[in-house]
Formats: sequence, C-alpha cells, structure tokens
Amino acid sequence: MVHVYKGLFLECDPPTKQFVEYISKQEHFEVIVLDETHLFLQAADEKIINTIQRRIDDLQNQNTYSVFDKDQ
Amino acid sequence: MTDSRKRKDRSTNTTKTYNTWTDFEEELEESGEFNQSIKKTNSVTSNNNNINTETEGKGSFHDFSKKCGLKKDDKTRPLWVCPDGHIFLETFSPIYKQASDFLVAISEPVCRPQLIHEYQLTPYSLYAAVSVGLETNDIITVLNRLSKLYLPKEVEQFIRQCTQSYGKVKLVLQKNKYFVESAYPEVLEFLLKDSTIASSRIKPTLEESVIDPKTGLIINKVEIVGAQISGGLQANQSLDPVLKNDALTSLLEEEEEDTVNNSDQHFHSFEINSQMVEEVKKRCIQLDYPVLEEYDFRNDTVNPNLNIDLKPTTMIRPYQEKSLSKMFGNGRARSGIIVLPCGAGKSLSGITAACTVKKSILVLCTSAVSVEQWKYQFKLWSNIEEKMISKFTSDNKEKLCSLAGVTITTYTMVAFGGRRSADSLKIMNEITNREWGLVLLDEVHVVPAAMFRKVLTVTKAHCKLGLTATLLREDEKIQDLNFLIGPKLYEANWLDLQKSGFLANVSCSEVWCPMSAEFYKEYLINDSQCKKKLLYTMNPNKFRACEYLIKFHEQRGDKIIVFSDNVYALQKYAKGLGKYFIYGPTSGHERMSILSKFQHDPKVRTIFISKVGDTSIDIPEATVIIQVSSHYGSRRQEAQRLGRILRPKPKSDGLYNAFFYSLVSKDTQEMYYSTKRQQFLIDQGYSFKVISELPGLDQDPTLKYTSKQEQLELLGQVLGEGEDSGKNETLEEDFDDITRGGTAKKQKPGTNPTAVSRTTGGSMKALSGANDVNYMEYQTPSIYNKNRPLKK
Repeated sequence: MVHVYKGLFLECDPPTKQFVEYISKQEHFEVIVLDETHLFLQAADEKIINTIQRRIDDLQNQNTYSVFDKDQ
Repeated sequence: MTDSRKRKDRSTNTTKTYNTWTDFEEELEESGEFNQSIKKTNSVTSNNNNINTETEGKGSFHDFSKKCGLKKDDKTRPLWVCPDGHIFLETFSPIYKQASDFLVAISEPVCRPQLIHEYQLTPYSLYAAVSVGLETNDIITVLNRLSKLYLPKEVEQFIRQCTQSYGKVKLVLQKNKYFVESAYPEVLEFLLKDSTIASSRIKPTLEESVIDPKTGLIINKVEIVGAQISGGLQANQSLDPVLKNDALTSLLEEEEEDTVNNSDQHFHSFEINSQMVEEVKKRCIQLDYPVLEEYDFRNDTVNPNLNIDLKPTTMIRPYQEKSLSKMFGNGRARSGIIVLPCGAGKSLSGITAACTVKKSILVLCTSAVSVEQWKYQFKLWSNIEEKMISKFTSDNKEKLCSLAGVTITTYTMVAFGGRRSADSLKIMNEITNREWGLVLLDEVHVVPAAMFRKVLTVTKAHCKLGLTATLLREDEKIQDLNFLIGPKLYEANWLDLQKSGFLANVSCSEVWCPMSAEFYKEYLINDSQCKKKLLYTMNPNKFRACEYLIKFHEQRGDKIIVFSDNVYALQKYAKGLGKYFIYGPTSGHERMSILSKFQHDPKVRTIFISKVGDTSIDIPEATVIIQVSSHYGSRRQEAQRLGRILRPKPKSDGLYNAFFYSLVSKDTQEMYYSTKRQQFLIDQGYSFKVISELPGLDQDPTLKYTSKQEQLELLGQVLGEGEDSGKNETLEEDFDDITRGGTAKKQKPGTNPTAVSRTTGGSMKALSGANDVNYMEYQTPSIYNKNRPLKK
C-alpha cells in the first residue's frame, strides 16, 4: 500500500532541526525525521511556517546581544 | 547617586537636553537592569514591540545638524561637540595628541577605536577636571577653540553649572586634624549653615592660628608650587600643552590664558571632628560642594619621613608620568584613581607616587599572592630597605616598622570584622592608629563592595590612590568610588599604548562552535540554567576546536593559557588533553610548581586555569589565551583575562604577537554573554574577529570526540552530573563581585545559595554577577572560617 502525505519539506542545519523538533510539541504540528538535515512537516500550511519562523527569530534574538540593549 | 538627582531638582533653568542625559543616568540606576532584552523573550507577540523599543529612546539617532553651526575653518579643528555632551575626536588630526590629553582631563572616554574617539561630558568628569586645577572659563575656551561647531549653549551651561561648585572646598589633614578649607569664605559660611556640618565643627583655640574676626574662620596663607615628582620629572599643567603648543597656536590666533593660578592665596578653614569626616564629605556632595582631598606632604612635619626613592635605573614611561602629574599637579597629593591597562605598569605608578610622598605607605591588595608581588616590585624599583617593608597576611604577621615604613596587606585582613588572634590584633591596632601618608588600593574596582568599603573608614590616610585596569562593575556602585576615594585622575588609551609598543599587539577572535545535534536537543529540553550551561560548555565541537587551537599554537612555540570558570569542564578538558590545571583547591605549593614549569619547561606549553587566574597570576610569557567557559556577561573578567597576555612581547614575524580566543557554542545563550563581555574591550579599540570554521578541523582524525559514539558517551556523562557541576567555581578567595544572593552562610566550593534561572525572571544584574560580595579568606581553617558580608 502506498500512503501519500501532503505536507512541507524542510531542509536545515542540525541545530535548527533539533529546534523544530523541540517546538513541534508546543506548536502542535507533526514532524517526520528524514535524516540529519531534513524534516517533513505533515499537514502543514502557511501558518505553521510563520510560527516556526517566528520562534526561530525569537531564539536568535534571545541569543544575540545588541549594543542598543544596554542603556548607554 | 542622590547628588545628580538633587542637582536636577534644584536647578531652575535647565534646558531640555540637560535633563535628557541626566534622565538617562537616573533611569539607568533606577531600573537596575542593565539589559532590557529579557522583556523581548517574554511573549511571542512582543516581536512588534521589539521594533518600537529599538527606534525610540536609548539607541536612537539624533540629528544635530540643524541645531549646531559649523565654523568656517572646521577642517583644522578636531572635535565635534554635540549638545548632549558627546564629543567626537578625529584621531587623524595633526593636533590629536593635545586634544586627546585635554579631553581625557575633562570627559569620560566612551569608545576609542582607531579613527574616531567618543567622549562624554559628565558631572564626575568635570569634577575630576576641576580637581586637577582646570577652571571653568579655560575649559570652555579651549573646547571652543578645538571644536568644529560653535559650542552649543547647553554644553556651556552644563560645564558652568557643574564646575561652579566644584573645587571650591578642600579637605585637608594637618597635624592629625581635619580641616575644611576654601579660598572663598562665603562657601564655608554656606556649608556651616547645614546642621550636620555645623555639629561636627570644632571651634579653634586662639593660640594656634590666625582667625578672621568676622567669620570666625581660620586663615592660612599657602603657596602653591609646581611639584617635583620623584625621579626628577616635572609635573606639567594639563592645559599648557594645548595652549602653548606651536601647532595649535599657528592654527588658531587667540591669546593664551593662564591655567592654574600660581599666586599666593588666602585660605579659610574650619576644623571638623575626625569621626565625622565621612558624614561631612557626603553632606558636602549633597549640597553640591564636593570636597577635594589634598595632602600637603611637603609641609607635613608631624608624620615621620620615609627615606625611599626610585632606583636611578628605573625608567618611567610617558603615560605613567602623565598620570602622576595629574596627581601631583599643584604640589599637593590628590586622592583619586588611575586606570591603566593590565601589564602597563600600574605597580610602578603606585611606587613612584609612594616615592614622591615619602611618608608611611599602606598597600592594599586582593590576595596573598599579590602581596608577594607588590613586595617584590617595591624592592625591584625602589631602594627601600628590607626592614622597612612589612607584610600583613594570614601567613605573615610582621611587625610594622616603628617610625615610617611600607605595609602591604590584603583588603580582607583589614576589613575583617570578627575576632582576631592576639598577634594580628596588635598589628591591626597599629595600622588603625597610624596616620598613613598614602594608601595604595590595588584593583580598586572591588572596593565599592559592601565588605571592602570598611577599609576606608578603618584606616586614616592623607591621600588615597586607587589603581585598576578595569573601572567596571556590573552594578552601579562604581560611582561610589568618586566619594570613597576620589575622581578618576587618568585613564590610558589602550590602542595608543599598543602602538607605542607598551602593550602587546593582540588579535581577538571569537570561534563559533556548532552544537552537536544531541547536545543541542538536550540543551533545548532542559530547563535548568546550570544544565544548559554545562551542555554548551561541554559541547564536543568546542572541545575539538580547543584541541585544534592548542595543537596549532604549540607548533608555533607559543605558551597557552586556557581559562574555564566551570570546574567540571576544566577537569574534563585538562585531563582529556593531558595538561596541568589549577583551580581553587590546588595548593599554593602545587600552583607555584605548575607555574614555574609553565615558565621554564619547554614541554609544558599549555595550562588550564579556573577563575583563580583572573588576576593574581602574573605570567609574562604567555602569548595565547583560549577561553572555554566564563562568567556570564562580566566585562571586567574578559578584560582582566586579556590582561594576562598584554605584557609587551618581542616582535615576532607577522603583525600580531598575542592571541585571544573565545570559544562560543553557536545558537545558545553563550553567544549573548560573549558579545556582552566584549563590549569593554571593543570600547578600548579592540575588534573581535569571528572564526566560524577552523580549516581542517573536520578532517583531522587525531582529535577527540570524532566519532558519534564518543560524543554520546560524553553526553551521557554530562547529563549524569548533578546541578552543582554546571555552576561556576565559587572561589574561596572570591574578592570579586560575583556571587548571587549574599547570605551569611558559609559556602561550599561550587555551590550557590540561590539558583539562577532566567525563566523565573532573575534580574540581569544578578546574572551578570552583581550582588553583595561574599568573601572568604581561603588559607587557614581556624578563625577565618566564619564571615559575614557587611550590611551597608
């Protein structure tokens, strides 16, 4: 039997893949791990992409120190 | 900082811009959070707000082109003076040197990279300017001359406002009595109206001095002469180089003015109770008349002289001379702070000051190792006799020289509040009873901590000189130094010193190590701050990068020091690579042996050190530093570590002769802290390169953790470690501003009373390591076990 799934194919580096897996439970979408750098997002749509993008942006902001943050 | 707040309240016609930047300073203190970015991560929807906060207020851009007029010959002038007090200096101007000397005297350097320097006028910087003898009108005139723009009214007003009340009142210690002195009797009368000051006044007896019948104030006539600094060097007046310089006068054709008033002046004074000195000083600051403390050591006949001189072979470098000329400008010794980079010769500056004052000297250091080093330096640079130096540490309790001498001790020994042994009690009494001519405070940035402020009240000194390389703390207490010790007399320019060859040419780099997938997964899942820290420290890619760099530099013949705050990581790395390591529990004897091997044995090229190595250890030959783990955002620590390799090196082939690597795990909090730490060094002019890939790293089969198997094993071990391992080493001799949640409990090494967790909203201040100091003296178990951090 062949199963056909519609979804989105995600290519990224290993840390990002870990991160997407990590937030998949929080943001309620399903991932299927293909290999170290590829993921398949099942039944995903535009909204999920934006969510993932936003979460990644948050993560980057959290880890980046900008001179404008300090009150100087 | 009540004084600036009060000043704002009292001033009736301040302009809008004046208010803006004092508001800045106040918000800074009130919020107590140096970092607003925590708000960013709180909610997902705050993304929009992020954009708003970045464009408004703090980090925003001001357009002054409408407000300020450009002068016609602007190309010949080197300064841009903005209405908010910022001054920008072009370093490529022909009169850069003189202009920079002038600016250092009147303003705070903010950022000094290669081509354009940024300075800021602050009340404290103007206070410092006045204390070295600059007058309001002179400052304004010279600033106007050097500026491309017509001097903005706000700036002129600010300078006048700040300087009109500074420098009018002096606190002088004569014959064991404290006098508040001024050339302006009106000022003294104003001060005496205040109840605190009036209550501390002691009425003079008629036989002793000449009294002005009208005011009841004592009159003395004092001559001010130029000082002769020990070693035959003349002190120079700070503005003379600017005003009398030929290049400058050819560019600008105006009359020169007199700087420091050298004529005889009448001084009025009244005596105050020596117990109330602190109170009076604080009160005067609140009344907007901060007292200058000056010591007339030449005319001090009461205190015995100390026969000490610099050796004739001792050479003082130009920046050391300049810093000391600020201190001895008008023949008296001023109290204050001198900031020189690590390895640039702070000890020599202190010793030269001591040789100029020639009275009893007390030297306060941070640790027993420093005590040894100071004694060695004294014997090296001056002709002091052995019997005139005494050490006072828990191991050595030497009797003070009876008449006059040099005593070297640590902050803890003096500030200790508990019971002492009979010997140390005797010596402590002698220290408290003696009137010290000069107190040298090494690493003065630790003094504002509650524990150490006490040293200043316990010891009576005519003149206090604070020395440090990093006038930084991650809390606001650094401003307290202004009234605890005095203004900042001099701050050296790191890049200039590097260009002149007094500091090594350092290449700073940040090496980005990607987290391995498994480690990153665990990093994301784990909520515990300490576990996260452990995970990103023990990242196998970081380990490999470290190994790679060590191999690379050992091949070149360099000596390498690897720093790691985290003890678990330290041991894992050192044992894994087969190198020696030093941390808190390492005995003094073993430390000395490892260090001497490092210096002399060509086979020992690398050593691993924990926090103990931040300041006390002095290793001239190290050329490479690799930082594996560090203490959150502490800029001071970063600068101090860099200082380990700043000593001048012989020029090797290639531009750089010293290397500083900071290994960071990508996509983790470490990136954030790393950038924050670098800010101080960036302000000094260093730039951090980013190395995102080490060539040949992946192909090298000889490095550890190449296989997945090994990495997974490491992960297993790391996860198995308890909470403690993720925390930084709490040094027994933690003289620094590090620990969190100061309580009176005795701390076991490696534990902290409160866990720091970002998710529970711990303040950024705490995360950057700034709460009450919790200090412990390590060596002996006996009476020094208990300690209580002093309440403020």
